[in-house]
Amino acid sequence: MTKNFVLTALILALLLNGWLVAYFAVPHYLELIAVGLLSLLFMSILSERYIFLYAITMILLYGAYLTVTSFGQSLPEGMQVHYMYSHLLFTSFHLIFWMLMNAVKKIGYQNSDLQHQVQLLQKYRQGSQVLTMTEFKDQAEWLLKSTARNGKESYFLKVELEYSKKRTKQNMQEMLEKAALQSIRQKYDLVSSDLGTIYFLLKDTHQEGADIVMERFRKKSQAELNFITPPYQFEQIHIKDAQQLHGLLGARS
Amino acid sequence: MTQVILLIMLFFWVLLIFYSILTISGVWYRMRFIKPPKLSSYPSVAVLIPAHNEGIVMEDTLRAMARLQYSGQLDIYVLDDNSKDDTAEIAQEFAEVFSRIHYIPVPVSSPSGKSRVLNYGLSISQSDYFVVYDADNEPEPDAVELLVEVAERTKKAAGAVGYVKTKNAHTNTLTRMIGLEFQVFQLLMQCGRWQFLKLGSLAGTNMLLRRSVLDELGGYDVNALAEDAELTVRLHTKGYLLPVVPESKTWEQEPEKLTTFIKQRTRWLTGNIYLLEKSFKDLSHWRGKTFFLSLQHVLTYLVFVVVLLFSDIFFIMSILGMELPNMEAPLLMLWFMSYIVYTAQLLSALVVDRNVSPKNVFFIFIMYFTYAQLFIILLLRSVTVYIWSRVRGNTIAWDKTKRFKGVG
Repeated sequence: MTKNFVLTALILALLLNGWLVAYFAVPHYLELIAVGLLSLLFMSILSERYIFLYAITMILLYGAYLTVTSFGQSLPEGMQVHYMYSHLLFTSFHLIFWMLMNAVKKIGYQNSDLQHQVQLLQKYRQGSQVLTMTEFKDQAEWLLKSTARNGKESYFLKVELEYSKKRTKQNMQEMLEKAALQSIRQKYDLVSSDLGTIYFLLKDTHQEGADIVMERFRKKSQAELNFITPPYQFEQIHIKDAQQLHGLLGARS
Repeated sequence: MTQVILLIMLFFWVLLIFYSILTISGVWYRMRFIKPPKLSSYPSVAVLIPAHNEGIVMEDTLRAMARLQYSGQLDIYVLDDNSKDDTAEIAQEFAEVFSRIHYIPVPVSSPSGKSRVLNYGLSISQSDYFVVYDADNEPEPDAVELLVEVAERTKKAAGAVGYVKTKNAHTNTLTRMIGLEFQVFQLLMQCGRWQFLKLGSLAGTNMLLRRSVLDELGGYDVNALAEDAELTVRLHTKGYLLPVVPESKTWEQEPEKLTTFIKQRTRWLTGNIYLLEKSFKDLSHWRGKTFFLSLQHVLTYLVFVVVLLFSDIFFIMSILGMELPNMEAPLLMLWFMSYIVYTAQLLSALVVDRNVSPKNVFFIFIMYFTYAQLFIILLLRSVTVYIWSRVRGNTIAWDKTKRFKGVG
């Protein structure tokens, strides 16, 4: 509510400022409007931290220009007063727009920040039961600690798609994710995915157990796909701790 | 007469342009500053705290000093200059508990003042660098480390200077205005000078210096009342640099009463007049980068005050409806622009320091008519004190700024 009020007030102030420039036809008002419009463009494009620098530079430059003109033309006092009004309107225009940009960009940054926070809080990837990477890593830490304490083993499986046709790649990944979820022990092992890759973390198992899961996955995917050779690469690693897992997830993490 | 006034107006115009460029450069530097990377090894540092009857603030100061985080060897020396209050008791208590805090009583001698105490502190300590903090300062934990990192990574650096923030800015109108002035002149102008001219100036506190450089210069000038400004000129004469580190912050108490403020600023200004006199006698002050420092001194303490006086006289004349001298100079416009530049500096400082508030903005709009005008009174007082002491052949005594309790 307050934000809406502030934004509305600033927009109205900006419009009023522009109207005053035109209505009173202050010295150089046409140039002033042209520079003002260009400033609107530049300040909208510039990064937040440089907007003020731009505004203050313009204010000082315009002041310098008016002073030099006053010197050059030996202006009478009455005209100098008009120059002062012109500068005040130019200054207020830039400062109001700076405040407006500040408020708008602040809302934009808050929005991105919130989106990031939501992503961190999301448990599953949109429209599936596959864990998000953040959740996968979090749950993996618990899982690996408990496996280590019980003196058992965990296995990490990585399935990397080797299929480049864009049109069907997304559906193929979804199908493989579904196959992965059907191949693991429910509420016991973990599955996550990233663009073109599917990750499994198998708890309290051994080499043979990992092979069984992989074989199950291969059969399920083959039943759905028309490929003689599976369109993916497969990797199986005995995992000891969370650090090793983070290393394997690498740049994707 | 008209031509003289015109010449002064031109000087004024140059000053306005100069300060406008510094403002823009300062904002640019502040916005682009990034903390330096860590060093592989850190040189040893001695923290020097001159103290004379500082019992009222000493506990808070040493608490902050004990919290300093530094990756190398750090020793903190409280240099007690003949205190009669409980300064010694407090400092000794901290020295008994913390191995890196040392209490050092300074032998009584003449002339009194910070420079002599600092020279003594340097004589009893050993380190690669030393940092000076006033006795009311509370540096942030990373303040020293940041100064060292920047000094070590800047070629030809004699040290580095940090940012002095006002601890009691919200106490009253005076402290708020001092706080705003500090934001502009201590930091924004510092950053601007560094960005634009590669010139830094020592602030008297939160400043790091390489011990070997000071040895080369022969230590502090014990007759200088503004020892920081005096040393700055000597450092630049030798071709050294003083990078500015806005992220290294210390919090300082500022005068809460007008009388204390006038006393403190009279000392500063008298010190600067001493330096001005020195620059007229010593031509080395006008070579290389030192030229800009000396020029700024002349412009600020000689030309600016005359201009300000004329500006006020014309302002009063126009209010009284008197006719202004007929000149080929747009006086009104110049007066207006000086207000704009002054206010723009203050606003820029608020923005880069992220403390824009309706109250602060209100203050920056009225400071030109109130706080800035105090400068004339202070300068006239300082000039009188200085000339009088020169005529009588006296040394001007160094007097410390009165401290206040219960701020923060």
